[in-house]
Amino acid sequence: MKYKVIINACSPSYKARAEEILSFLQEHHLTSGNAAGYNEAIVFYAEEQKAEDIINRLPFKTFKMVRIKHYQPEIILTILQELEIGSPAQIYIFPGDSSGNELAVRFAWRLNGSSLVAVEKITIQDNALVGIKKVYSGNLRGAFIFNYKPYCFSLARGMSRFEADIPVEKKNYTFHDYSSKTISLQPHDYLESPKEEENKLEKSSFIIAAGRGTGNSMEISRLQNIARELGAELGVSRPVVMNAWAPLDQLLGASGAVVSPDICLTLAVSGSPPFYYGIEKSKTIIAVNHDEHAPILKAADIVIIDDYKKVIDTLIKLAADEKGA
Amino acid sequence: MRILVLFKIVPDLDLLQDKEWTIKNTLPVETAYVKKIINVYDESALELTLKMADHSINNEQQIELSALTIGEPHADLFLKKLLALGFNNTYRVQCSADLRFNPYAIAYIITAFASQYGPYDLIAMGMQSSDGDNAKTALLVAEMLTWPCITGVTGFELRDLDLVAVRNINDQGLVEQLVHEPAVLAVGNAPCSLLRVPTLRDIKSAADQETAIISLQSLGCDLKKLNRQNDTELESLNTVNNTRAGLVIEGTSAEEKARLLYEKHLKGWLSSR
Repeated sequence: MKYKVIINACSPSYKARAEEILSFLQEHHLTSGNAAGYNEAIVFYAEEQKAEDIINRLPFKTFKMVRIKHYQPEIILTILQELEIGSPAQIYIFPGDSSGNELAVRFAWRLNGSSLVAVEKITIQDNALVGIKKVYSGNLRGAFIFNYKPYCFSLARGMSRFEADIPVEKKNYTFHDYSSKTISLQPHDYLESPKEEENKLEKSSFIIAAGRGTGNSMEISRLQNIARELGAELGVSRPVVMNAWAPLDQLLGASGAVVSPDICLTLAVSGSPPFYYGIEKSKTIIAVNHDEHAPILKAADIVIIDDYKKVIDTLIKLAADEKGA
Repeated sequence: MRILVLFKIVPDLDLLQDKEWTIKNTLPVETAYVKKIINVYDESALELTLKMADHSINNEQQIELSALTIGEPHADLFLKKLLALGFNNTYRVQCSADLRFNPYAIAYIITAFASQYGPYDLIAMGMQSSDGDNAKTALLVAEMLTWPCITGVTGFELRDLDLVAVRNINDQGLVEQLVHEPAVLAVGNAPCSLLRVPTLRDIKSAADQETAIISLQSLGCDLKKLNRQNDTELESLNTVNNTRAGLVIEGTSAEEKARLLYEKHLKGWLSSR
Protein backbone atom coordinates (compact mmCIF):
# COMPACT_ATOMS: atom_id res chain seq x y z
CA MET A 1 0.00 0.00 0.00
CA LYS A 2 1.20 3.49 -0.81
CA TYR A 3 1.70 5.44 2.36
CA LYS A 4 3.02 8.76 3.55
CA VAL A 5 4.36 10.07 6.82
CA ILE A 6 3.47 13.50 8.19
CA ILE A 7 5.93 15.23 10.53
CA ASN A 8 5.38 18.41 12.54
CA ALA A 9 8.91 19.82 12.79
CA CYS A 10 7.58 22.90 14.60
CA SER A 11 7.62 20.61 17.63
CA PRO A 12 11.00 20.35 19.41
CA SER A 13 10.45 16.58 19.68
CA TYR A 14 10.02 16.00 15.95
CA LYS A 15 13.14 13.83 15.62
CA ALA A 16 12.03 11.46 18.37
CA ARG A 17 8.56 11.23 16.81
CA ALA A 18 10.08 10.57 13.36
CA GLU A 19 12.27 7.81 14.83
CA GLU A 20 9.19 6.22 16.39
CA ILE A 21 7.48 6.21 13.01
CA LEU A 22 10.58 4.70 11.38
CA SER A 23 10.65 1.96 14.01
CA PHE A 24 6.93 1.32 13.41
CA LEU A 25 7.53 1.05 9.67
CA GLN A 26 10.33 -1.43 10.23
CA GLU A 27 8.32 -3.55 12.62
CA HIS A 28 5.59 -3.73 10.01
CA HIS A 29 8.02 -4.46 7.14
CA LEU A 30 7.04 -1.27 5.41
CA THR A 31 10.57 -0.03 4.79
CA SER A 32 11.82 -2.67 2.34
CA GLY A 33 14.81 -3.18 4.59
CA ASN A 34 15.98 0.39 4.68
CA ALA A 35 14.78 3.85 5.53
CA ALA A 36 14.17 4.66 1.88
CA GLY A 37 11.40 2.11 1.45
CA TYR A 38 8.60 4.37 2.63
CA ASN A 39 6.99 6.44 -0.02
CA GLU A 40 7.45 9.96 1.27
CA ALA A 41 7.38 12.16 4.33
CA ILE A 42 5.81 15.60 4.40
CA VAL A 43 7.59 17.77 6.93
CA PHE A 44 6.11 21.03 8.21
CA TYR A 45 8.50 23.59 9.69
CA ALA A 46 8.33 27.29 10.49
CA GLU A 47 11.78 28.80 10.95
CA GLU A 48 13.93 29.04 7.85
CA GLN A 49 17.17 28.98 9.83
CA LYS A 50 16.26 25.57 11.25
CA ALA A 51 15.63 23.93 7.88
CA GLU A 52 19.19 22.66 7.45
CA ASP A 53 19.25 21.14 10.90
CA ILE A 54 15.90 19.45 10.33
CA ILE A 55 17.12 17.98 7.04
CA ASN A 56 20.26 16.66 8.75
CA ARG A 57 18.44 15.14 11.71
CA LEU A 58 15.46 13.55 9.97
CA PRO A 59 15.85 9.77 9.62
CA PHE A 60 14.15 9.73 6.21
CA LYS A 61 15.49 9.73 2.67
CA THR A 62 12.67 11.23 0.64
CA PHE A 63 10.64 14.12 1.92
CA LYS A 64 8.97 17.42 1.19
CA MET A 65 10.02 20.37 3.36
CA VAL A 66 6.93 22.54 3.72
CA ARG A 67 7.51 25.93 5.32
CA ILE A 68 4.60 27.51 7.20
CA LYS A 69 4.29 30.71 9.24
CA HIS A 70 3.81 28.83 12.51
CA TYR A 71 2.14 25.66 13.68
CA GLN A 72 -1.57 25.95 13.21
CA PRO A 73 -3.58 22.84 12.42
CA GLU A 74 -6.07 24.57 10.12
CA ILE A 75 -3.30 25.84 7.86
CA ILE A 76 -1.48 22.50 7.80
CA LEU A 77 -4.71 20.71 6.95
CA THR A 78 -5.44 23.11 4.09
CA ILE A 79 -1.92 22.67 2.68
CA LEU A 80 -2.07 18.89 3.06
CA GLN A 81 -5.34 18.87 1.16
CA GLU A 82 -3.79 20.92 -1.63
CA LEU A 83 -0.76 18.65 -1.81
CA GLU A 84 -2.62 15.36 -1.63
CA ILE A 85 -6.05 15.79 -3.13
CA GLY A 86 -5.00 14.74 -6.65
CA SER A 87 -3.38 11.42 -5.81
CA PRO A 88 -3.84 10.59 -2.16
CA ALA A 89 -1.89 7.76 -0.59
CA GLN A 90 -3.78 4.82 0.88
CA ILE A 91 -2.25 5.28 4.32
CA TYR A 92 -1.16 8.43 6.18
CA ILE A 93 0.87 7.92 9.33
CA PHE A 94 1.01 10.72 11.89
CA PRO A 95 3.27 10.99 14.97
CA GLY A 96 2.21 9.97 18.46
CA ASP A 97 1.69 13.46 19.83
CA SER A 98 -1.16 15.93 20.12
CA SER A 99 -0.67 17.43 16.67
CA GLY A 100 -0.48 13.93 15.16
CA ASN A 101 -3.77 12.95 16.76
CA GLU A 102 -5.50 16.10 15.64
CA LEU A 103 -4.23 16.09 12.08
CA ALA A 104 -4.97 12.38 11.55
CA VAL A 105 -8.64 12.74 12.49
CA ARG A 106 -9.29 16.01 10.70
CA PHE A 107 -7.37 15.06 7.55
CA ALA A 108 -9.25 11.75 7.26
CA TRP A 109 -12.53 13.62 7.56
CA ARG A 110 -11.56 16.02 4.77
CA LEU A 111 -10.58 13.16 2.45
CA ASN A 112 -13.64 11.02 3.33
CA GLY A 113 -11.30 8.49 4.86
CA SER A 114 -11.14 6.84 8.27
CA SER A 115 -9.00 7.57 11.29
CA LEU A 116 -7.71 6.08 14.52
CA VAL A 117 -5.71 7.74 17.26
CA ALA A 118 -2.86 6.16 19.28
CA VAL A 119 -2.37 3.02 17.19
CA GLU A 120 0.19 0.49 18.47
CA LYS A 121 0.08 -1.96 15.61
CA ILE A 122 -1.59 -2.59 12.26
CA THR A 123 -2.48 -5.80 10.47
CA ILE A 124 -4.19 -6.70 7.23
CA GLN A 125 -7.23 -8.97 7.50
CA ASP A 126 -9.24 -9.93 4.40
CA ASN A 127 -7.83 -6.95 2.51
CA ALA A 128 -8.91 -4.60 5.28
CA LEU A 129 -6.54 -2.60 7.45
CA VAL A 130 -6.93 -3.25 11.18
CA GLY A 131 -5.48 -0.89 13.79
CA ILE A 132 -4.83 -2.03 17.35
CA LYS A 133 -4.94 0.47 20.21
CA LYS A 134 -5.68 0.69 23.90
CA VAL A 135 -9.23 1.43 25.05
CA TYR A 136 -11.07 1.60 28.38
CA SER A 137 -8.33 3.81 29.86
CA GLY A 138 -5.65 1.32 28.92
CA ASN A 139 -7.35 -1.68 30.53
CA LEU A 140 -8.01 -3.40 27.18
CA ARG A 141 -6.74 -3.43 23.60
CA GLY A 142 -9.21 -3.08 20.76
CA ALA A 143 -8.79 -4.08 17.13
CA PHE A 144 -10.54 -1.67 14.75
CA ILE A 145 -11.24 -2.15 11.06
CA PHE A 146 -10.75 0.96 8.94
CA ASN A 147 -13.78 1.30 6.66
CA TYR A 148 -12.80 3.98 4.18
CA LYS A 149 -9.61 4.98 2.37
CA PRO A 150 -7.38 6.80 2.95
CA TYR A 151 -6.55 5.28 6.30
CA CYS A 152 -5.15 7.93 8.62
CA PHE A 153 -3.76 7.12 12.03
CA SER A 154 -1.45 8.50 14.66
CA LEU A 155 0.90 6.27 16.62
CA ALA A 156 0.56 5.57 20.31
CA ARG A 157 2.77 7.79 22.43
CA GLY A 158 6.22 6.54 23.41
CA MET A 159 6.64 3.76 20.84
CA SER A 160 10.13 2.33 20.41
CA ARG A 161 12.52 4.38 18.28
CA PHE A 162 14.93 3.53 15.50
CA GLU A 163 17.80 5.90 14.91
CA ALA A 164 18.99 6.05 11.30
CA ASP A 165 21.96 8.24 10.48
CA ILE A 166 21.52 8.97 6.78
CA PRO A 167 24.16 11.20 5.12
CA VAL A 168 22.54 14.36 3.82
CA GLU A 169 23.85 13.77 0.30
CA LYS A 170 21.73 10.63 0.14
CA LYS A 171 18.60 12.52 1.05
CA ASN A 172 16.15 13.55 -1.60
CA TYR A 173 14.07 16.56 -0.58
CA THR A 174 12.20 19.48 -2.08
CA PHE A 175 11.20 22.85 -0.59
CA HIS A 176 7.67 24.21 -0.65
CA ASP A 177 7.11 27.67 0.78
CA TYR A 178 3.66 28.23 2.27
CA SER A 179 4.83 30.76 4.86
CA SER A 180 2.54 33.44 3.46
CA LYS A 181 -0.41 31.06 3.33
CA THR A 182 -3.47 32.33 5.14
CA ILE A 183 -6.93 30.87 5.38
CA SER A 184 -10.26 32.54 5.95
CA LEU A 185 -10.65 30.55 9.14
CA GLN A 186 -7.80 31.98 11.15
CA PRO A 187 -8.75 32.09 14.78
CA HIS A 188 -5.53 32.36 16.69
CA ASP A 189 -3.40 35.28 17.76
CA TYR A 190 -0.61 34.01 19.94
CA LEU A 191 -0.19 35.93 23.17
CA GLU A 192 2.72 33.87 24.39
CA SER A 193 5.23 32.02 22.29
CA PRO A 194 5.52 28.40 23.21
CA LYS A 195 8.63 27.20 24.97
CA GLU A 196 10.67 25.23 22.50
CA GLU A 197 12.12 22.61 24.76
CA GLU A 198 12.03 18.88 24.66
CA ASN A 199 10.40 17.31 27.68
CA LYS A 200 13.21 16.45 30.16
CA LEU A 201 11.32 13.38 31.36
CA GLU A 202 11.54 11.73 27.94
CA LYS A 203 15.35 11.91 27.98
CA SER A 204 15.98 10.89 31.57
CA SER A 205 17.44 7.50 32.51
CA PHE A 206 16.19 7.76 36.11
CA ILE A 207 12.71 8.93 36.99
CA ILE A 208 11.06 9.30 40.37
CA ALA A 209 7.28 9.25 39.97
CA ALA A 210 5.13 10.73 42.72
CA GLY A 211 1.46 9.90 43.16
CA ARG A 212 -1.54 11.33 44.96
CA GLY A 213 -0.45 9.60 48.17
CA THR A 214 2.36 12.10 48.58
CA GLY A 215 -0.32 14.42 49.92
CA ASN A 216 0.49 18.05 49.14
CA SER A 217 2.52 20.55 47.14
CA MET A 218 5.20 21.00 49.83
CA GLU A 219 5.96 17.30 49.72
CA ILE A 220 6.17 17.43 45.93
CA SER A 221 8.68 20.31 46.24
CA ARG A 222 10.71 18.23 48.71
CA LEU A 223 10.67 15.27 46.32
CA GLN A 224 11.77 17.60 43.53
CA ASN A 225 14.91 18.41 45.53
CA ILE A 226 15.49 14.76 46.38
CA ALA A 227 15.18 13.81 42.70
CA ARG A 228 17.74 16.47 41.80
CA GLU A 229 20.18 15.16 44.42
CA LEU A 230 19.84 11.62 43.11
CA GLY A 231 20.28 12.77 39.50
CA ALA A 232 16.70 11.89 38.62
CA GLU A 233 13.78 13.76 37.04
CA LEU A 234 10.55 14.01 38.98
CA GLY A 235 7.34 12.97 37.21
CA VAL A 236 3.88 12.94 38.74
CA SER A 237 0.50 11.30 38.28
CA ARG A 238 -2.63 13.10 37.05
CA PRO A 239 -4.17 13.78 40.50
CA VAL A 240 -0.97 15.62 41.51
CA VAL A 241 -1.25 17.89 38.48
CA MET A 242 -5.01 18.34 38.89
CA ASN A 243 -4.40 19.54 42.44
CA ALA A 244 -1.79 21.95 41.05
CA TRP A 245 0.94 20.47 43.24
CA ALA A 246 3.19 20.17 40.18
CA PRO A 247 3.28 21.74 36.70
CA LEU A 248 1.75 20.04 33.67
CA ASP A 249 5.09 19.30 32.03
CA GLN A 250 5.82 16.83 34.84
CA LEU A 251 2.74 14.75 34.11
CA LEU A 252 3.39 11.09 33.31
CA GLY A 253 0.80 8.92 31.60
CA ALA A 254 -1.49 8.54 28.63
CA SER A 255 -2.13 12.27 28.48
CA GLY A 256 1.34 13.32 29.63
CA ALA A 257 4.89 12.15 29.02
CA VAL A 258 5.56 8.56 28.02
CA VAL A 259 9.02 7.62 29.25
CA SER A 260 11.47 4.76 28.94
CA PRO A 261 14.14 5.24 31.63
CA ASP A 262 16.47 2.57 32.97
CA ILE A 263 14.86 2.96 36.39
CA CYS A 264 11.49 4.35 37.39
CA LEU A 265 10.97 4.62 41.14
CA THR A 266 7.29 5.17 41.96
CA LEU A 267 6.35 6.67 45.33
CA ALA A 268 2.76 6.49 46.64
CA VAL A 269 1.46 5.80 43.16
CA SER A 270 -1.60 3.55 42.88
CA GLY A 271 -0.82 2.58 39.29
CA SER A 272 -4.03 3.15 37.32
CA PRO A 273 -3.71 2.07 33.67
CA PRO A 274 -3.59 5.63 32.27
CA PHE A 275 -0.64 6.40 34.58
CA TYR A 276 1.06 3.06 33.91
CA TYR A 277 0.88 3.79 30.19
CA GLY A 278 3.42 6.54 30.82
CA ILE A 279 6.01 4.32 32.53
CA GLU A 280 5.42 0.87 31.09
CA LYS A 281 8.48 1.10 28.82
CA SER A 282 10.80 1.56 31.81
CA LYS A 283 13.48 -1.13 32.01
CA THR A 284 13.02 -1.52 35.77
CA ILE A 285 10.06 -0.30 37.78
CA ILE A 286 10.53 -0.04 41.54
CA ALA A 287 7.30 0.61 43.45
CA VAL A 288 7.09 1.88 47.02
CA ASN A 289 3.59 1.96 48.47
CA HIS A 290 2.17 1.20 51.90
CA ASP A 291 -0.99 -0.29 50.35
CA GLU A 292 -0.34 -3.95 49.59
CA HIS A 293 -3.35 -3.97 47.21
CA ALA A 294 -2.17 -1.08 45.04
CA PRO A 295 -2.24 -2.24 41.37
CA ILE A 296 1.26 -0.84 40.77
CA LEU A 297 2.79 -3.59 42.91
CA LYS A 298 1.84 -6.30 40.37
CA ALA A 299 3.14 -4.21 37.51
CA ALA A 300 6.55 -3.49 39.12
CA ASP A 301 9.80 -5.44 39.02
CA ILE A 302 10.78 -4.62 42.59
CA VAL A 303 8.40 -3.77 45.40
CA ILE A 304 8.64 -2.25 48.86
CA ILE A 305 5.42 -2.26 50.87
CA ASP A 306 6.02 0.49 53.40
CA ASP A 307 5.97 4.22 54.09
CA TYR A 308 7.59 5.81 51.03
CA LYS A 309 8.85 8.80 53.08
CA LYS A 310 11.03 6.63 55.28
CA VAL A 311 12.28 4.71 52.25
CA ILE A 312 13.22 7.77 50.18
CA ASP A 313 14.79 9.53 53.19
CA THR A 314 16.99 6.49 53.79
CA LEU A 315 17.89 6.24 50.10
CA ILE A 316 18.99 9.86 49.94
CA LYS A 317 21.10 9.42 53.06
CA LEU A 318 22.77 6.29 51.67
CA ALA A 319 23.48 8.04 48.37
CA ALA A 320 24.95 11.06 50.20
CA ASP A 321 27.14 8.78 52.35
CA GLU A 322 28.36 7.03 49.23
CA LYS A 323 29.25 10.36 47.61
CA GLY A 324 31.09 11.53 50.70
CA ALA A 325 32.99 8.25 51.10
CA MET B 1 -22.20 34.83 24.43
CA ARG B 2 -23.78 31.39 24.20
CA ILE B 3 -21.66 28.44 25.30
CA LEU B 4 -22.53 24.78 24.92
CA VAL B 5 -20.68 22.26 27.08
CA LEU B 6 -20.88 18.59 26.25
CA PHE B 7 -20.36 15.84 28.74
CA LYS B 8 -20.55 12.10 28.95
CA ILE B 9 -21.52 9.90 31.87
CA VAL B 10 -19.04 7.03 32.14
CA PRO B 11 -18.41 4.12 34.51
CA ASP B 12 -15.76 4.84 37.15
CA LEU B 13 -13.21 2.39 35.75
CA ASP B 14 -10.89 2.87 38.74
CA LEU B 15 -13.39 0.83 40.77
CA LEU B 16 -12.91 -2.25 38.59
CA GLN B 17 -10.39 -4.83 39.72
CA ASP B 18 -7.92 -6.64 37.47
CA LYS B 19 -9.98 -9.83 37.26
CA GLU B 20 -12.94 -7.89 35.93
CA TRP B 21 -10.94 -7.04 32.83
CA THR B 22 -10.32 -10.69 32.02
CA ILE B 23 -12.55 -11.00 29.01
CA LYS B 24 -12.95 -13.56 26.28
CA ASN B 25 -13.09 -11.36 23.26
CA THR B 26 -16.67 -10.45 24.03
CA LEU B 27 -18.25 -7.19 22.99
CA PRO B 28 -19.22 -4.92 24.56
CA VAL B 29 -17.74 -4.79 28.06
CA GLU B 30 -20.53 -4.81 30.63
CA THR B 31 -20.17 -1.80 32.92
CA ALA B 32 -23.83 -1.13 33.73
CA TYR B 33 -23.32 -2.10 37.39
CA VAL B 34 -20.35 0.23 37.95
CA LYS B 35 -20.85 3.61 39.66
CA LYS B 36 -21.25 6.43 37.15
CA ILE B 37 -19.25 9.66 37.03
CA ILE B 38 -18.84 12.57 34.66
CA ASN B 39 -15.94 11.83 32.31
CA VAL B 40 -12.93 13.57 33.89
CA TYR B 41 -12.05 15.80 30.93
CA ASP B 42 -15.70 16.78 30.47
CA GLU B 43 -15.86 17.62 34.18
CA SER B 44 -12.96 20.02 33.63
CA ALA B 45 -14.77 21.56 30.64
CA LEU B 46 -17.86 22.15 32.80
CA GLU B 47 -15.88 23.71 35.65
CA LEU B 48 -13.74 25.91 33.37
CA THR B 49 -16.93 27.21 31.76
CA LEU B 50 -18.41 28.03 35.16
CA LYS B 51 -15.18 29.86 36.05
CA MET B 52 -15.46 31.85 32.84
CA ALA B 53 -19.05 32.75 33.73
CA ASP B 54 -17.94 33.80 37.26
CA HIS B 55 -15.48 36.18 35.67
CA SER B 56 -18.09 37.54 33.26
CA ILE B 57 -20.43 38.39 36.16
CA ASN B 58 -17.72 40.68 37.50
CA ASN B 59 -17.35 42.21 34.04
CA GLU B 60 -21.11 42.39 33.51
CA GLN B 61 -20.90 40.41 30.29
CA GLN B 62 -23.83 38.18 29.43
CA ILE B 63 -23.04 34.51 29.14
CA GLU B 64 -25.65 31.83 28.55
CA LEU B 65 -24.52 28.36 29.58
CA SER B 66 -26.03 25.18 28.17
CA ALA B 67 -25.04 21.60 28.90
CA LEU B 68 -25.79 18.62 26.71
CA THR B 69 -25.34 14.90 27.12
CA ILE B 70 -26.36 11.97 24.97
CA GLY B 71 -27.64 8.91 26.78
CA GLU B 72 -30.16 7.41 29.11
CA PRO B 73 -32.11 8.82 32.10
CA HIS B 74 -29.33 8.02 34.60
CA ALA B 75 -27.68 11.24 33.36
CA ASP B 76 -30.60 13.38 34.58
CA LEU B 77 -29.30 13.65 38.15
CA PHE B 78 -26.03 15.09 36.82
CA LEU B 79 -27.98 17.53 34.65
CA LYS B 80 -30.00 18.62 37.68
CA LYS B 81 -26.73 19.35 39.48
CA LEU B 82 -25.57 21.49 36.57
CA LEU B 83 -28.79 23.52 36.72
CA ALA B 84 -28.09 24.11 40.41
CA LEU B 85 -24.56 25.21 39.58
CA GLY B 86 -25.76 27.92 37.23
CA PHE B 87 -26.25 26.37 33.82
CA ASN B 88 -29.19 28.11 32.16
CA ASN B 89 -30.28 25.18 30.02
CA THR B 90 -29.65 21.45 30.18
CA TYR B 91 -30.45 18.96 27.46
CA ARG B 92 -30.31 15.21 27.11
CA VAL B 93 -30.61 13.52 23.76
CA GLN B 94 -32.35 10.25 24.55
CA CYS B 95 -30.24 7.44 23.16
CA SER B 96 -29.94 3.90 24.48
CA ALA B 97 -27.64 2.67 21.72
CA ASP B 98 -24.04 1.79 22.58
CA LEU B 99 -21.99 4.49 20.85
CA ARG B 100 -18.79 4.05 22.86
CA PHE B 101 -16.78 3.41 19.72
CA ASN B 102 -18.72 5.56 17.32
CA PRO B 103 -17.42 9.12 17.77
CA TYR B 104 -18.71 9.88 14.27
CA ALA B 105 -22.31 9.34 15.42
CA ILE B 106 -21.77 11.36 18.60
CA ALA B 107 -20.25 14.24 16.65
CA TYR B 108 -23.07 14.09 14.12
CA ILE B 109 -25.73 14.27 16.85
CA ILE B 110 -23.93 17.17 18.57
CA THR B 111 -23.68 19.04 15.29
CA ALA B 112 -27.35 18.46 14.53
CA PHE B 113 -28.23 19.71 18.03
CA ALA B 114 -26.01 22.80 17.71
CA SER B 115 -27.55 23.63 14.35
CA GLN B 116 -31.09 23.33 15.70
CA TYR B 117 -30.67 24.88 19.16
CA GLY B 118 -27.83 27.30 18.36
CA PRO B 119 -26.18 29.38 17.27
CA TYR B 120 -23.49 28.85 19.88
CA ASP B 121 -20.32 30.88 20.12
CA LEU B 122 -18.24 28.26 21.87
CA ILE B 123 -18.58 24.52 22.20
CA ALA B 124 -16.45 22.95 24.95
CA MET B 125 -15.94 19.29 25.83
CA GLY B 126 -13.30 16.92 27.13
CA MET B 127 -10.64 15.74 24.69
CA GLN B 128 -11.54 12.06 25.16
CA SER B 129 -13.60 9.74 27.31
CA SER B 130 -12.35 7.06 29.65
CA ASP B 131 -14.19 4.15 28.05
CA GLY B 132 -13.95 4.71 24.29
CA ASP B 133 -10.56 6.46 24.35
CA ASN B 134 -11.38 7.60 20.81
CA ALA B 135 -10.11 11.20 21.20
CA LYS B 136 -12.00 12.16 18.02
CA THR B 137 -15.35 13.70 18.95
CA ALA B 138 -14.24 17.32 19.46
CA LEU B 139 -12.18 17.23 16.26
CA LEU B 140 -15.05 15.80 14.23
CA VAL B 141 -17.50 18.36 15.62
CA ALA B 142 -15.10 21.13 14.56
CA GLU B 143 -14.80 19.63 11.08
CA MET B 144 -18.56 19.13 10.70
CA LEU B 145 -19.20 22.73 11.74
CA THR B 146 -16.10 23.98 9.85
CA TRP B 147 -15.02 25.72 13.04
CA PRO B 148 -11.47 25.92 14.41
CA CYS B 149 -10.60 23.59 17.24
CA ILE B 150 -8.18 24.17 20.12
CA THR B 151 -6.99 20.95 21.74
CA GLY B 152 -5.39 20.29 25.13
CA VAL B 153 -7.16 23.29 26.65
CA THR B 154 -6.26 24.06 30.26
CA GLY B 155 -8.23 27.28 30.75
CA PHE B 156 -10.15 30.01 28.99
CA GLU B 157 -11.65 33.40 29.75
CA LEU B 158 -13.62 36.04 27.93
CA ARG B 159 -11.48 39.00 26.84
CA ASP B 160 -13.93 40.89 24.68
CA LEU B 161 -17.35 40.37 23.16
CA ASP B 162 -16.19 37.83 20.59
CA LEU B 163 -12.69 37.13 21.82
CA VAL B 164 -11.66 34.37 24.17
CA ALA B 165 -8.20 33.91 25.67
CA VAL B 166 -7.46 30.19 25.63
CA ARG B 167 -4.55 28.46 27.35
CA ASN B 168 -3.64 25.10 25.94
CA ILE B 169 -0.78 22.68 25.89
CA ASN B 170 0.50 21.46 22.56
CA ASP B 171 3.67 19.77 21.35
CA GLN B 172 5.59 23.02 21.70
CA GLY B 173 4.55 23.65 25.29
CA LEU B 174 2.03 25.88 27.01
CA VAL B 175 0.46 28.44 24.72
CA GLU B 176 -1.91 31.31 25.32
CA GLN B 177 -3.84 32.56 22.34
CA LEU B 178 -6.76 34.80 21.49
CA VAL B 179 -9.50 32.92 19.71
CA HIS B 180 -12.27 34.56 17.76
CA GLU B 181 -15.55 32.78 18.19
CA PRO B 182 -16.93 30.43 17.11
CA ALA B 183 -14.57 27.67 18.15
CA VAL B 184 -14.54 24.17 19.60
CA LEU B 185 -12.45 23.75 22.75
CA ALA B 186 -11.22 20.25 23.59
CA VAL B 187 -10.26 20.34 27.27
CA GLY B 188 -7.26 18.34 28.46
CA ASN B 189 -5.46 18.20 31.79
CA ALA B 190 -6.66 21.40 33.42
CA PRO B 191 -5.33 21.91 36.96
CA CYS B 192 -7.85 22.84 39.67
CA SER B 193 -10.88 21.99 37.58
CA LEU B 194 -12.83 19.52 39.70
CA LEU B 195 -16.51 20.38 39.35
CA ARG B 196 -17.76 22.49 42.25
CA VAL B 197 -20.49 21.23 44.56
CA PRO B 198 -23.83 23.08 44.62
CA THR B 199 -25.01 24.53 47.92
CA LEU B 200 -28.42 23.70 49.37
CA ARG B 201 -29.53 27.15 48.30
CA ASP B 202 -28.35 26.49 44.73
CA ILE B 203 -30.27 23.24 44.67
CA LYS B 204 -33.47 24.87 45.97
CA SER B 205 -33.29 27.73 43.51
CA ALA B 206 -32.97 25.29 40.59
CA ALA B 207 -35.68 22.95 41.86
CA ASP B 208 -38.25 24.08 39.29
CA GLN B 209 -35.92 23.92 36.31
CA GLU B 210 -36.18 20.92 34.05
CA THR B 211 -33.88 19.25 31.58
CA ALA B 212 -35.19 19.15 28.04
CA ILE B 213 -35.28 15.62 26.67
CA ILE B 214 -34.74 15.49 22.93
CA SER B 215 -35.28 12.58 20.59
CA LEU B 216 -32.84 11.55 17.88
CA GLN B 217 -35.66 11.73 15.37
CA SER B 218 -36.31 15.39 16.16
CA LEU B 219 -32.66 16.10 15.30
CA GLY B 220 -32.96 14.17 12.04
CA CYS B 221 -30.54 11.47 13.22
CA ASP B 222 -30.97 7.91 12.00
CA LEU B 223 -28.93 5.56 14.21
CA LYS B 224 -28.78 2.75 11.68
CA LYS B 225 -27.36 5.12 9.13
CA LEU B 226 -24.92 6.61 11.65
CA ASN B 227 -23.66 3.14 12.58
CA ARG B 228 -23.23 2.26 8.93
CA GLN B 229 -21.25 5.42 8.28
CA ASN B 230 -18.86 4.99 11.21
CA ASP B 231 -15.35 5.18 9.75
CA THR B 232 -13.91 2.45 11.97
CA GLU B 233 -15.48 -0.62 13.50
CA LEU B 234 -14.44 -2.40 16.69
CA GLU B 235 -13.73 -5.99 15.79
CA SER B 236 -12.37 -7.50 19.01
CA LEU B 237 -11.09 -6.74 22.50
CA ASN B 238 -8.21 -8.27 24.40
CA THR B 239 -6.89 -7.99 27.92
CA VAL B 240 -3.72 -5.95 28.56
CA ASN B 241 -1.26 -7.80 30.74
CA ASN B 242 1.08 -5.49 32.67
CA THR B 243 2.31 -8.03 35.17
CA ARG B 244 6.02 -7.91 36.10
CA ALA B 245 8.11 -9.92 38.56
CA GLY B 246 6.93 -8.04 41.64
CA LEU B 247 9.96 -9.04 43.75
CA VAL B 248 9.06 -7.95 47.27
CA ILE B 249 11.91 -6.63 49.42
CA GLU B 250 11.31 -7.87 52.95
CA GLY B 251 12.72 -6.32 56.12
CA THR B 252 11.90 -5.42 59.68
CA SER B 253 11.65 -1.69 58.97
CA ALA B 254 11.29 0.74 56.07
CA GLU B 255 14.90 1.79 56.62
CA GLU B 256 16.15 -1.78 56.31
CA LYS B 257 14.14 -2.34 53.13
CA ALA B 258 15.51 0.90 51.68
CA ARG B 259 19.05 -0.18 52.51
CA LEU B 260 18.52 -3.56 50.80
CA LEU B 261 17.05 -1.84 47.75
CA TYR B 262 20.00 0.53 47.60
CA GLU B 263 22.71 -2.11 48.06
CA LYS B 264 21.23 -4.70 45.68
CA HIS B 265 19.60 -2.65 42.97
CA LEU B 266 20.61 1.01 43.01
CA LYS B 267 24.14 1.54 44.30
CA GLY B 268 25.98 -0.05 41.39
CA TRP B 269 23.72 1.51 38.80
CA LEU B 270 23.94 4.99 40.34
CA SER B 271 27.74 4.86 40.60
CA SER B 272 28.11 3.62 37.01
CA ARG B 273 26.20 6.56 35.50
